[in-house]
Amino acid sequence: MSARIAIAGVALVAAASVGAAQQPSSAASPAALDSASAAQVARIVDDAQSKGLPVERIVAKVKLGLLIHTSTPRIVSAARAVAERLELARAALAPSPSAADIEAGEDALSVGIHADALEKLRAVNPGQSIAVPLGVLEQLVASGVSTKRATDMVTQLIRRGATNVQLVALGNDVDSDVGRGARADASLDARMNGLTAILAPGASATSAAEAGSSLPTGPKRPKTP
Amino acid sequence: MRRARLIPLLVGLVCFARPSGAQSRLTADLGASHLKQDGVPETSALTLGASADAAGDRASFHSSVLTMLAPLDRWTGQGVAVGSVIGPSPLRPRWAIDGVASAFGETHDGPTFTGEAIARAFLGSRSRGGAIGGGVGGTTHAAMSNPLYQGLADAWWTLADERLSLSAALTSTHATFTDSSRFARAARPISYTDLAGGWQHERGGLSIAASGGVRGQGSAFDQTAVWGSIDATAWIAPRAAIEASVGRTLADLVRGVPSTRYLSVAIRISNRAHVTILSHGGELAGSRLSIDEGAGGDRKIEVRARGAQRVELMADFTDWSPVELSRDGDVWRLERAIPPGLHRVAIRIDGGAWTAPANLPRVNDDLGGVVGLVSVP
Repeated sequence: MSARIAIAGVALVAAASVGAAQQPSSAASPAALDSASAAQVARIVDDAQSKGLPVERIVAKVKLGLLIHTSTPRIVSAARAVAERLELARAALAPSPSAADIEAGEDALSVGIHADALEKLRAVNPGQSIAVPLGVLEQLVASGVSTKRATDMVTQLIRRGATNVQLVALGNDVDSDVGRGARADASLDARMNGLTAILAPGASATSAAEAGSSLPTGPKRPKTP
Repeated sequence: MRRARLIPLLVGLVCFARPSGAQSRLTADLGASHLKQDGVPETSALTLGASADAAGDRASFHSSVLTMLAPLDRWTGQGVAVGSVIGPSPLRPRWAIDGVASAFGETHDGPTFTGEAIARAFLGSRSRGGAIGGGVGGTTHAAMSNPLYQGLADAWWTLADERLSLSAALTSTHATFTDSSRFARAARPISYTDLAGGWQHERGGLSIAASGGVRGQGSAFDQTAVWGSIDATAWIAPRAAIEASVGRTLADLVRGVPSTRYLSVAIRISNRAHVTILSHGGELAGSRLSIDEGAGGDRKIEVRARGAQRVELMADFTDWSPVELSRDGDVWRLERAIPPGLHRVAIRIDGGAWTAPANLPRVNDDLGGVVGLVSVP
């Protein structure tokens, strides 16, 4: 998307009601930015665009701010914060992160996860998208798991070959447990136990060894004493 | 037997390999079993067991011991330790080296020791794939040592909470017992093939598993025996579970254990907290949002909002445009395409303030409000 289109997007948000294709709620109609604020936002978008950052996230933030009638200084401040986080995320996820990775990194930074956590995740999965692991990391932290512990767990699971589906399930399970009153750390421990058992390659041999005399090296069901 | 004696050393080496970031778990079991074995009167026994597991990035370890105590001071004891070193994940296929050591003893007989080193290659992913490998080791009983050779193949498939597995094993060793439990002065060579399958379901503090298999001997699989088991574990407290198991095992000619039918119940204590089957109480009050598979690739969004007259939703996947949901009693629904990943979402009830659904983790939106996080697989 060119800078011109991005800026036009902001202007559209500021001026228009929600598109019909979105089945809009009739009560919602975004307000408009004043000209000075619109110019500030346009400069932020233009600057981000010139740096090669994905700017849709900035536009979306402005749109949300307008929709919920946030003050314009706050909207401009939020747009600037998003742009800064996008740049920080791209640097942490170097050398060639995708737009999805950068946006996921920006999301993670927005909940207080540090850039070095992004670097760790990138290091264990170089050359592949880590948007999903970053999302799970963010979800765990938002559920109440400490940033360091969540980073260690997600990093460890990636190293062991956990799939995106397994990671997403872990995040949702912990989230669900916390919703039922469980402590986030205890839930993560419990859920990790299950995943660890599934991911440990030794589990296959072990279970076979214990499964009713199928291997002579395994323990047997007890003989009558 | 020199080979078998090296196995505990391999297991020990594996235990100390790459401990960083390891997950560990200790459990203790106390229970009772009722046993019915070929040629032996039915009996009941007290069971005492313990296990230790640890898994790191490149190594894992599992060990367990089990003792049974019956009237008249009769007992059996057994233990197994399995250590694995796993190859680095960027390589395909991955490999693993396992060291397995076990011992079995009983009141009026000497112990049987076994040891084996197994090399395996993994294909596919951890959620769906297979492994092939081979093992070499030995067994010893009453000063008689015998070699052990195995060929192994495994396949597994994990889908959400379900795990299916299939395995095949070719085994060649020597039996020092005849008719399951009578010790023979001279070992005789035996070879057999095991085919086994298993299913495990695990969710919400409840684990149910069923497995079974057939063992065939002879060139035409003309002598066969079957085994099967059903196991259930229910975590009734974060560190306490009730276990029940019923099944039938095969005769073990290496250790002298006859075919056994058993029913056992036990209490398990763990040092690690688990989700329990009773943890459904205390749910948060307020509106709750869920996203499930819908028709035609769309996702089905449901918001439970008791007493609401109108429910709206906006999210990154609606481009932050409010969308009104359709009512079905206390449930409000919407179907639309949502890409996989983590999404930010907010709802509004009866025209009130936009807020995060009560069941979702919430984060600041940079604008003085909060939104919920929901992950779509």
